[in-house]
Amino acid sequence: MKTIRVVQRLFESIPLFVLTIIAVFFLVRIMPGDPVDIMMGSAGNVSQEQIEQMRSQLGLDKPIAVQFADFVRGAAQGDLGYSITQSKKVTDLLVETFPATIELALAALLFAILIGLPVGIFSAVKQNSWVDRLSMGFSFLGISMPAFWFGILGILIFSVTLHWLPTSGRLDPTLELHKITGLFLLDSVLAGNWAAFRSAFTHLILPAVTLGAELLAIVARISRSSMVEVLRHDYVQLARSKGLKETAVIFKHALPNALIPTVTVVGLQMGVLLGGNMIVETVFGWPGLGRLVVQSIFARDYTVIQGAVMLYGVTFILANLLVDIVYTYLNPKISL
Amino acid sequence: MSTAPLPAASRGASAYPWKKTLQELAAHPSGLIGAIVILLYLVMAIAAPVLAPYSPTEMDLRARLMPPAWLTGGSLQHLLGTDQLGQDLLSRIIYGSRVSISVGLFSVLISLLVGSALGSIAGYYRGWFDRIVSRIADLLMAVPYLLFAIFAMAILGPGVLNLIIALSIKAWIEFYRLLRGEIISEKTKEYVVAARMLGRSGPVIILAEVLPNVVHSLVVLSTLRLGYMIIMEASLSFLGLGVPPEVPAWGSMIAAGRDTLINAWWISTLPGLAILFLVLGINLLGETLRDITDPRLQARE
Repeated sequence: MKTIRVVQRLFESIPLFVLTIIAVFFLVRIMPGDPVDIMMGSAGNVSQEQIEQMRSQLGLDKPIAVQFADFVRGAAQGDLGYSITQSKKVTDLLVETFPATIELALAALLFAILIGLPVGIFSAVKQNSWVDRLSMGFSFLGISMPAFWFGILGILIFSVTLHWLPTSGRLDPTLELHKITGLFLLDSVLAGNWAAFRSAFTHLILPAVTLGAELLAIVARISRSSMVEVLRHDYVQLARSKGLKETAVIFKHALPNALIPTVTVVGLQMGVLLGGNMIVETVFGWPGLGRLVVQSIFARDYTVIQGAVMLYGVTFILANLLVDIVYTYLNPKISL
Repeated sequence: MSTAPLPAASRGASAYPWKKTLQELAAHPSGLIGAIVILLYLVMAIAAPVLAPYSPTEMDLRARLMPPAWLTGGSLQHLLGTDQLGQDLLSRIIYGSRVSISVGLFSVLISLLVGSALGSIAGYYRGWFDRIVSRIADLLMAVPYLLFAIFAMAILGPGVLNLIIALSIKAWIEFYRLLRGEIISEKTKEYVVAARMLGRSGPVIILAEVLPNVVHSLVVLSTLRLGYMIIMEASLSFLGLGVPPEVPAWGSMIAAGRDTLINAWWISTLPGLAILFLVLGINLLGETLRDITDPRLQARE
């Protein structure tokens, strides 16, 4: 029954997905300047003839309806064309960058939940203690801080001053790593390559902390406030009065209910994790999808922007679906 | 979720709701601090030409990368030091407040007006208008905010007005949803039903009867969104999609200082502090206002 509902949900998101792709196709083309302008702009003395020749090579001189038809025909066969600026296939670029983005987003999510959730619950249980006040103070800072600035502070302290962590990239360029999944931490473990694991891990710390900081603050605040609310409920008082241990009361009776709002909020914030990575990836030179989108928008690399947004759309839909499934699992009263 | 009715008395029942709010605000030090911080920034933005010791774009190539006054090599001539072009950082930070504050205030104001108007109409009359606008809102909500704003700025080009437009296109939705929901629930209440039976027209009921009851929620949402908009503006400026390069903005100043982090840390960090203090002040005020005006949250404490 539930599987049917999941499949149904997937089908329901198709119209939105198609609409997004159509919108992006036309939106990139109404941006001022086209890729040829941008490429030739830096080259200096280029004749009008050369410019026209380049446009026709790229198919940019065809009527927009024809360009769109070509794009749809290609996309339907899984062919997203070639990058205009990088002479690589768009699909290859996406395959290269996507695992980097996923690795970073997962690391940020893990960081936010593994720290934010215990902090929030502890603060709720020890309400108004100094730990509570301190952690809520930090959470308040976390939601008021621009992520990119926080990242730069991290680089200044841990890379430039202390030399503990690298400033950018995913892996020390002197190291070789055979790519299997594209998730460097996983690949280095699979290969038993501990030097690469260490390098990948140290490269990941600052970007993941930067990307996850705001979410951590949000998770801590939400889990605290929902835990405080749940702890006041009758059934928790009843469990206590039955003489149950406080830890049992908290973990068996209160926590599952307090988790529901937290999961909802984490779900809503998936967009921030996936959309916020454009800034964080740019700050840390992280070779992921977000940085690729920003670079392609500046270069007006139409084909890459289209492909990247398509991939964003798919990821987004699947991530939301996953959140919904977790949500139903936690709260059986709600059906998908 | 408890379904207990909200304490109706605390909503719009007092004869002077604003006076009460102000008094309560004075009793909450964090909210008061927030309000004072915001006020100081407003003064800074308005009086920038008077306060700034230099023009924000005046270059002094002999005084490049000067550290703040309290560090060795610093001078009282440039309290917060200079950047790689020898521009006075303090002056640039003071002028930078103009972009952030005007973009923040106007994008929230436009979103508030547009969102509330559309939300009132959709909530009161429902029907096809509600269906269409709600569908558009759902569609826009599905796109990550930053990705959307980056696209919009790439199309519109840099500029303060374009930043306001780009941010407002999506920001109206929350105000729309708030007002639509409130109107739908208020519509069934006795006082609205009574007003309808008295022959009052829809717009009159919305403006005179319902709006005064939701004005608190709108103020809270506006305040909290203001901080978010300022961070969004800084993010776009950081990426080089904000204002033209010659206009000082905090986000682009942070970006410019990235290359000189090793020998001039102040260029990136100080404008970031300016953003942090302003957004902290706004959020302090916003959360305090929410705590004192939202009975639902009050009950929780």
